[in-house]
Amino acid sequence: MVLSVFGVFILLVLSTTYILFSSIRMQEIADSSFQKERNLKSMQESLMTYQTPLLEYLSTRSSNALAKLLVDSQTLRNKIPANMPKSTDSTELREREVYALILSFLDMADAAVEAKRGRNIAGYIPVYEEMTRLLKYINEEVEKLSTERFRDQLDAYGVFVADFRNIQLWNLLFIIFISFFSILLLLRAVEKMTDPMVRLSEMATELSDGHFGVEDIKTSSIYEIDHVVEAFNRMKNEIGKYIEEIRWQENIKQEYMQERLRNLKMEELVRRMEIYTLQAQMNPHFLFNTLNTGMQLAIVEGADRTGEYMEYLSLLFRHNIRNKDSIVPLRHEIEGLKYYFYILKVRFPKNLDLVLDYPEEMLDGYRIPVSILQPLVENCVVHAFKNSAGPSSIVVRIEKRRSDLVLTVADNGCGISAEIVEGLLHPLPIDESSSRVMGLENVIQRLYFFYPDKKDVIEIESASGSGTTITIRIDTENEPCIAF
Amino acid sequence: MKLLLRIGLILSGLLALVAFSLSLALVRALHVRGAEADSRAPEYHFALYLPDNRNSFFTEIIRGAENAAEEMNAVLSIHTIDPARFDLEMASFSGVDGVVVCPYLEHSFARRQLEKLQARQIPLVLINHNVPNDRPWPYIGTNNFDVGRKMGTIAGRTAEEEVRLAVVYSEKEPGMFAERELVEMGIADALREKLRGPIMSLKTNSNLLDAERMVYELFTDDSRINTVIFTDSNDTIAAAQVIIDMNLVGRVRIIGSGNDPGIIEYIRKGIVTGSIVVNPEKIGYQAVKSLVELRSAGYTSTSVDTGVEIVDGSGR
Repeated sequence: MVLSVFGVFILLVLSTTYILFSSIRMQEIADSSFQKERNLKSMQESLMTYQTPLLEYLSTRSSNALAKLLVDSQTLRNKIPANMPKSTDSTELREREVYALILSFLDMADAAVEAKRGRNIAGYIPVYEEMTRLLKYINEEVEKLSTERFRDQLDAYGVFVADFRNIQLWNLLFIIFISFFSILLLLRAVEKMTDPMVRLSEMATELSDGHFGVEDIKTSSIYEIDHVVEAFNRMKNEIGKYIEEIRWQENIKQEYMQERLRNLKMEELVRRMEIYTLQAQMNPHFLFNTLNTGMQLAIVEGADRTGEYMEYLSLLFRHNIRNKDSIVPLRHEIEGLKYYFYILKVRFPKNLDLVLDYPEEMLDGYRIPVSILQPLVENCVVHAFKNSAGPSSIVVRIEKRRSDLVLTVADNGCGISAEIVEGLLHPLPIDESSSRVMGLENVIQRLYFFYPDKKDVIEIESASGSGTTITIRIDTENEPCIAF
Repeated sequence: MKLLLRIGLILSGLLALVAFSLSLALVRALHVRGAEADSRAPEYHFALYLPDNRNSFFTEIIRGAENAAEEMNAVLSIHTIDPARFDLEMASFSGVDGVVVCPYLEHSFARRQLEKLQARQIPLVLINHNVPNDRPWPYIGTNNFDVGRKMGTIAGRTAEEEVRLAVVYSEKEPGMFAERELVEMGIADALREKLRGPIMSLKTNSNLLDAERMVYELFTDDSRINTVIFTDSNDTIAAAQVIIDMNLVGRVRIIGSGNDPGIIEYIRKGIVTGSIVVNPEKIGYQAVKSLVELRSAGYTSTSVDTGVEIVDGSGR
């Protein structure tokens, strides 16, 4: 900035100096054309005054006159240019001749003075006469020369004035342009100074919006500004780094919190389930006692069929609550299902056909989550045959396909709409769903829970009016995920 | 904004530079013109003293002298020989390196001035007219006796009968008038027995049309003259027109001087019989050349005849 201001100052000073120089130069040129004229006129006047002491000396031999004569003679000789060039210009040539005439005149004066000193009267009188004629001739020549030169100068003056005008015009334009240039140079310097500030302000706005990825501000050539810019860039980069670190920590914290929340919910769920289990343990005792009483009453009263029914009912309840494990042998699940089938046959003796198809040798070889078949059968009974008047059928089939244990529950009921199937297979997250999950949903959620990596652990094939087939595929080679 | 600023800076800078350069160039040109010096400093300064009359004859002498001066690295100042102006009288004080004089003045005065120059050892060359002296100065010009003979030859060649002759001299050609005796001797020598009666001498003044008056008066007063010789080209042209006007073509022969286009045209038409042509440019050139020789070698030819030619209808 200082350099620019100094540069502009120097530029203006130089421009003004040049204008001054050109004006002085033109004055000198104009003056020089008259200088020769002035010289000649001055010599002409000196020659006229020179006559007086000369005549005085020649007539009186006065030493004062002689002294003055010698001084004047020397002065005049000094005024004559030492080297008069032979010029092709006729005026200058004539001037040269005039100076030669003056020199001759002075030589003649010296000769006359010598003659006077030697009292040679015949010597100095004709010389003086010749000098008089010569002086007259010199005067005429000077006048003639002045006239000629004036005539020449008139022509030259016209050219000079035209040139002078042109020079002044160009000088004016030069000053205008150089001033304009200087102003622009200053503006550029100011811009150079303010531009980093503007960019700093813009960057500050960007930073306040949280954009720390903007490019660094380039440094200017101004030391002080560069200092600020560098500090700002450094600050921006440091803050950016801190912010990134904080974000990273925040993300970790959020992930941790989410995990913790999920664990809490899971714990809550587990606790609730434990409570349900406890409650369920308490109620069955009363139920078992009641059922035993009912069964004994039926035997006493001779109602064997009612007694048998209540015995199976009691066996089913006992089966459901006896085993608290999450994963049970397949045999255990089949036993429970048999008890349930007996009860269903009693309930629907005519129009419900129940089929349980399984290979006996598989029952002890595989383990499955507890209570996953009975809810499915119950779901069929409750929903599939609501509006059905014809014979209903529920087939439960267990088979092995490669490494998968495939459990199928099929009915010939009214079917399930696609939307409901979709809703069932893609349940809401556990933290968003209601805690009152019943029947089929319960089974699906538990299967997803135990086999999170197996997306096809359960499939529902259904069409309106043509029944529903629910297939459960349990990978026998992978253990179910039972840890939280 | 930045781009505009940059363009403005470049543009104003360039314009300022252009204005500055032009201004500087003009100042420099003005300075150089003011202090213009000859690239080659002339070696000699010669002075040429001629009559005030600036007719074509003297103009050509000056042109020839200037050409020679330029060629031989000398400069030339032109002065009048008029005694009233003291130019020649003061020539010895003027610091020149040599003097060329056309001395049609009165001989004693001319000789005095020339001797004054000689006394100051200033090289001197005479042109067009000689001044008799014990130690003759170098002379450049025509021999007027020869000129007279050539005039007489033209007159005699075309005259079948006797020649009654008038010679018209002129202030415009003072050299010829100054040596009129020589001219007339030459004419008489060429015509011999064809010349009838004495030669009539007439003189016109410096007025270009004075010859018209003179010819008119001549043929009004004396009709016996059948041949008129003019020594100046302007007089020749003026007289030819009067001869036509007075219906004297064929009866009066005109012999002129010079080779102006007008004279050549009159010769072609047969109005002017012939013309004597001297070469004044050569005289001027040779004069300066002789001065340079005098300055550089110390000697030159005593006399250089620049010759005379005849132009007539025969094509010679």
